[in-house]
Formats: sequence, structure tokens, C-alpha cells
Amino acid sequence: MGTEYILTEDDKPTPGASFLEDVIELQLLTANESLGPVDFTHPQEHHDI
Amino acid sequence: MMEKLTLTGPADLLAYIPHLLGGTPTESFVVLTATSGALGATLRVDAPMDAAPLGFAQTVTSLAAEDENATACYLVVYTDETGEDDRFPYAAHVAALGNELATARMPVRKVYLVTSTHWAAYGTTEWNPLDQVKDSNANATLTFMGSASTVDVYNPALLGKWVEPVQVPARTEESVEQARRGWVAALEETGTPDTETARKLAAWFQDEYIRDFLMADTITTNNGVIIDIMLGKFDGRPDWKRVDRAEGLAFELMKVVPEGQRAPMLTLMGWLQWLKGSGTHSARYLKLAAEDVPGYRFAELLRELIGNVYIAEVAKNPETAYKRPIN
Repeated sequence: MGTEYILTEDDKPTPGASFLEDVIELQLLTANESLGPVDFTHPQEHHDI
Repeated sequence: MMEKLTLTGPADLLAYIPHLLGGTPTESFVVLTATSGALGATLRVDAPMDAAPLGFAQTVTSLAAEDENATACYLVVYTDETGEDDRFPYAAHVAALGNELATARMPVRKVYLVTSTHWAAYGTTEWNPLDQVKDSNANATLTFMGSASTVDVYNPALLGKWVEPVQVPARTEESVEQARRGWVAALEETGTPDTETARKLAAWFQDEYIRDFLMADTITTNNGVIIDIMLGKFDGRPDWKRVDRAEGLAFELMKVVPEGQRAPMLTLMGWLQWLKGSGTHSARYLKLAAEDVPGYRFAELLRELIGNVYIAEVAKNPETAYKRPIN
């Protein structure tokens, strides 16, 4: 059932590992300088300014 | 229903910020983007500390520029680290940011300073009491409309202290499928799951492989590509009510397991908060996860990721971003 998740077009997650942790580690190889947590929000529902 | 809220002065503007961010910033720089007569996005970053002014200003400007419609902005410095001349904290950073934002064609209209005791127009000695913000028309109107300036699903007082640990289930193809079906069913139902169901769900979250599927399955508009899912790059606007439900459920699951088994749910909550555009709440949940299970790898990696990637893709676009509902 559900979505079949892929790492890339060729790879599928292998049982026994956390595929989310693996992709984050890869992403961090090209990381920016850390700025700390950032908040970015838009005006709330139901009203305009 | 869209109702127009008119901000008539600085106290209104400052009152509006906690309603947008779900809390009052501390030691932060906040940039509110604007077009003619309307506010756009709200960006909050940590105060720069030792960061070089130019680099800090360039990064913050590039983030503010995610609002492509902005033609101007307001800057608010929240700090108690006011230094020797308390009119001009972070003067070099404020000046650099002003230059960079002007270069990016969103010049700063006004700069304000907010400390824990007063607010002021930046660079002036006219200190105003914070009660002006609390008693402002904007705060009264937003509160009347049902907005809360603080939000928190997490309430440690509700977590049990004497709860039996759950047994981590054996991972088989069948158990993965069963877990995914169970999680999706829980997301689609209303109300609180009974204790047995909650403990079963919490047990599945303990397995890192199953946990990953449950997290990804929370977003129905995901495109199936893992890195896109993690970074919040989806095929359309997520079902934000389902995301809210997932966050509430995660806390319910935390209630039925002892300390040391809550980290997976806290990590889910942290990721969902980041998708919603709140790095502050996200970082808090991820810190709690790493405290619950010291060295919990997923929480530590995710915390590093959000500090480097800054804004989830889904949060950048007002069409897909979460907007805090007014009850």
C-alpha cells in the first residue's frame, strides 16, 4: 500500500537502515553556513493586512 | 471569510509578530516584508552574535527575497544585549542589512528595537512600555478573532511518569505495511486513539525504518523522492489539517510511552514544525528528542539540516505554506 519511496531514480531504500537519515547526511555534505533555526511565515488565514 | 486588519502604528506592528510566529522572539532579527499597503512574509533569524555583518546581511536578505512581491520591509531587533550604547545594538549588522535590503529593492522603512522591558524606534532614546504592544488594537483584534500569540502542542505536564515501555516490533514486510495502514488510519480518524492503539503506533515509531515511512506518509502530496520529502518539496499544498492532526497524535503517542521512547515522535513534531515555517519550534522539539534519547541520530541530523537549509520549500510559497488558523 501507499507510496513506494525512492532515494534517486535508480535506488530504493534498503531494509535495515534509515533512508531519511542517509539522505540528510548527503544533503549536509553541501551545507550552507549554519544560521540557526529560521522562521518564515505568511499572514494568517481569515484576514488580510 | 477575509477580514481586514489595519495596523496603525508601531505597537500594532510589534503586536502582530508573535501572532505570526507563535511566540515572542528573543535575541532575534525579524524582517517583515511589505508591498504597497500590505505586509508579506515574516522572517525571523537568531541575532548574529559573532557573525560578520556583511555575510549575515547577505544571507538574511536572500531569505527575505523569497517573498518575490516585496517592495519594502520593516526590521525589528529583539535583544537585551544592548551593549554600551543601548540605542544601537548590533549597529554594524543593522547597517549592513539595511544596505543589502535596499540593494535587493526592498528598502527598510523603519527599524525598531524590542527588549524585555521596552520598545523604541531604533537609535532613539524614547523608550516605550511593552504594555503598549499588549494593549494595542491589533493584539486585541487578533485575540478576539481567536488568534493566540503562543502555540504549543507539547505539554510535559501531561506526560506520564510510570508507563511501561513498548516492545519494538519485529520488522517484516508485513509489519511495515501494517504500521503504515495503522498510521494512515489514525490520521484519517478523529478523536484520540485508545491506549492499545496508541501504544502499537508508538512501538512502530521506535523502528527507524518504519518511522521513516510513517513520517513520509504524513504528507499526502509528497512526490515519493526522499530528499524532496525531507526538504518539503511537494507536488502541491499539503493537507495542513492532516499535518496538525499528526502533530497532535504524536503528542498523544508520547503520553503512552516512558522517557527514552519519545524521541521519534518529538522528531516528527520537529520536522512538521519546520515544514510549517517555524524553525524555532522545530529546534525546540529536536532538542527535546536528543535529550530523551541522547545521541538520537535522526534528531541531531535534522537539527543540523534546518540550521543549514533554513526554510522548507513548502513554506516559501504563500500558496502552499501553512497559515496559522484562527479558531
